[in-house]
Amino acid sequence: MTKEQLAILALQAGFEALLGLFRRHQQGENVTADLDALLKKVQSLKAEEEFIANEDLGTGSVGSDPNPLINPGNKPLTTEELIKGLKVED
Amino acid sequence: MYQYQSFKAMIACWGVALVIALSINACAGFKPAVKRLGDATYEAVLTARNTADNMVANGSMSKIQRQEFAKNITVPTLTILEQAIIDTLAWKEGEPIPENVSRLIGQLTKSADDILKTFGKDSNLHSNMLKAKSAAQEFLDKVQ
Repeated sequence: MTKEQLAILALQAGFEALLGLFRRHQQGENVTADLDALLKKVQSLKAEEEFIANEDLGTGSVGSDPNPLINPGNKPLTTEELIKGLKVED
Repeated sequence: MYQYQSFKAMIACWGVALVIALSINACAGFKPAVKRLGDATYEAVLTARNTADNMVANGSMSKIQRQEFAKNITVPTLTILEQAIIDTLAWKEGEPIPENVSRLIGQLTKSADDILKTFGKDSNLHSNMLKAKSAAQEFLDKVQ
């Protein structure tokens, strides 16, 4: 094998190594973006589960209702509001 | 003589580039492994959560049991998973494995047992937990 052939092989090996490095770098960026997206999903699910874990079941309070349309401001309802909400029309 | 020296220098340069590239390639599997482990854990917890909600809806689980399930299984698992992902995002090559990633594997095994005890042999849960466990095993094989 001549020196020129060896040089070509060395260049080829070096180029492939750098290409592999570049691909790994790109893959690493994708993985970071994927991990970021996963983190957001995990935090969202955790918040939902924490709400359930901390919900006051003993008092039967509807003040912890997460639906802002049913309970605007997430405040405990007054007795009058509760009666009004439970009233069945004739 | 000059040409031969240049040739040797070129070979040495490319040799160094090759060694660096191979070293980085060898370390780069950590984040993808945590990603697979995280995905499997998230899917397992999500499926368990949905199953628990369905059980509450059809009356086979009380709200108090659902709350205990959230307190003892879903929240602790998701908390450690969240920390493990945050630590992995900050992790740099050459650093030791973040402690929370190791803790996640222990928590996952505990949660898998708890979930199977709570739900029995529900097919979705069972297959998801197996997936999470195999991801954990794959992770251990890779980092050890």
